[in-house]
Amino acid sequence: MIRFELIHLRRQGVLVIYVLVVVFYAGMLRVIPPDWRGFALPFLLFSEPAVIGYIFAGGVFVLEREQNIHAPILLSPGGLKRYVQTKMAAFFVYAALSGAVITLTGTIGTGSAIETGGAIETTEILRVSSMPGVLAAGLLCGLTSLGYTALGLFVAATFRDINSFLMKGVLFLLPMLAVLAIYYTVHDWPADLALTLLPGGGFFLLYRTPALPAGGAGFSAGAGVVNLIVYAVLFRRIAERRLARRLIGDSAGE
Amino acid sequence: MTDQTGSVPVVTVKNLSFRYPGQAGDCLSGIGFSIPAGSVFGLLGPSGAGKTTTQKILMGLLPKYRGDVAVLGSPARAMGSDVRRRVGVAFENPALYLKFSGIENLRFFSALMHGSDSAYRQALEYVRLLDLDRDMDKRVEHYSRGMRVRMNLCRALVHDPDLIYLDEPTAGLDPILAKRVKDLIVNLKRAGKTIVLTTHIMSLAEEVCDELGIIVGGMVPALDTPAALQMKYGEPFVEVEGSGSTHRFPLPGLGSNAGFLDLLRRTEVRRIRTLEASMEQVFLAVSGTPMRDDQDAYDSV
Repeated sequence: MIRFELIHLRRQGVLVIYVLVVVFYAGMLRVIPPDWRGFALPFLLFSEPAVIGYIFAGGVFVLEREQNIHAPILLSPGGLKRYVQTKMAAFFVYAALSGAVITLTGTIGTGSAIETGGAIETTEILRVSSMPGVLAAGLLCGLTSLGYTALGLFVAATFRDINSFLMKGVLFLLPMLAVLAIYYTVHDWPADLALTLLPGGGFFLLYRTPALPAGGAGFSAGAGVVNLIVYAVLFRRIAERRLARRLIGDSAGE
Repeated sequence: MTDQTGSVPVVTVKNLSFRYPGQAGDCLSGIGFSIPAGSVFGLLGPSGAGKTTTQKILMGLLPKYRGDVAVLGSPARAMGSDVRRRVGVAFENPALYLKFSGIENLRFFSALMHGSDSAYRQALEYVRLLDLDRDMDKRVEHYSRGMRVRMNLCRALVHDPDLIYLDEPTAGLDPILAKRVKDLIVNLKRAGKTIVLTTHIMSLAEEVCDELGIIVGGMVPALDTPAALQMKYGEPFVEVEGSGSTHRFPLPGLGSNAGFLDLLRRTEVRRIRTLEASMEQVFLAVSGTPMRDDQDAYDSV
């Protein structure tokens, strides 16, 4: 099913746009001054899985609606649960690959290490010249995409047309902007608390983990993983419920 | 539980009522019928009469109904995955991935419905029967409306379901292909499949259905075999056409009707026919509404 979903996304043009985004982001990383790369990389990686996955999961849902294929999916043995899970898994693959490629191509050969932004000083945390660093960046993007993909499906099922989805759906990204703002401007425990509680905050908690001392790293890694998993499960559930209401409502002629 | 024929009904509907949220009155009011295994049940009715709502309740899409509805032994509002995989649905609007080829669609929906390899191979036979085999590598977005309708039918059958819902399966098809779809329905019935058919094509309903239910205003005022309905809503007479004259005789007691027997002896009979109603007349008499115009394409077969 995931293979079919990846083909479906590719045929809908999603892959092309991911490639363009990767090229743009990687190119941007290579042209900005090396001192800024550590600041820019987490921003780019976070916005890539979150925003792109969110927009495209919802957009693909709207395209599918025009092809009438939700009714047979609703009536299938796996039902909407399997539908949402398959979407999350497919966007995980796209986000992980693009995150890894952005990290690799945007920084390789520059001779610089990636550093975090101002929130936790300028400590080196992710040596992108090493393959584990690249894989970790990809995995982080993939994990973050899980929740945002489900959120994109929830929002797409909430609004009736693509215009409403694009215009009003932006409001659902405000927590993401809050996470970015907190990561770059707030320090110490208030930042830890806010990132632990906000959807997507786990991305930054995990991103900065390698730079922290042992005790802090343990908390940051644990809180980050829990944050991403809890929001992925929560958003998946509300997406399934909203999709069921929407699709049954559609079929009822509401 | 068995029906009058002794077979276990695949679908049982008792005292079914349904009201859409926010609406004042019931859309369905206490309807009931049962569908034995291996039969074709036709659900007819004018637009807005409640037949689509009935189908959606049977599919488990509208769980907030009143009354008892059992599908393959399970309440319609609580169908599990084991029941769902035994059901196939061909919606009136084809449900296909436009960017996938025909064969990719079949493979996808086979996997989605947990279909077996043998069921998939059988579906390829349906593809051949419906004259789609040369177009299976084309993307569905390049299919004509008629090709999509046929592909949609193959998709619904790809996992070899026991219970099949067909909603206007001949819509948009030319007479030859409509005939092939009719033959396919007959073959599926012979293979023991149970089919619920929704159509406005009266001649299709008459030819393939074992029993017809006509829904009007959320109720089922007519429920019987096509032949019984035609007799009920027709005139109980036999018309004898001889050379230059036509005579009518009542059907009851026809064998001992002296006038009829005398006519047969003394006249060269050209034609004898019962005056049962056509299905169109039955539909009109029950519903008070004429059929849609798409009857013509099918009738020209």
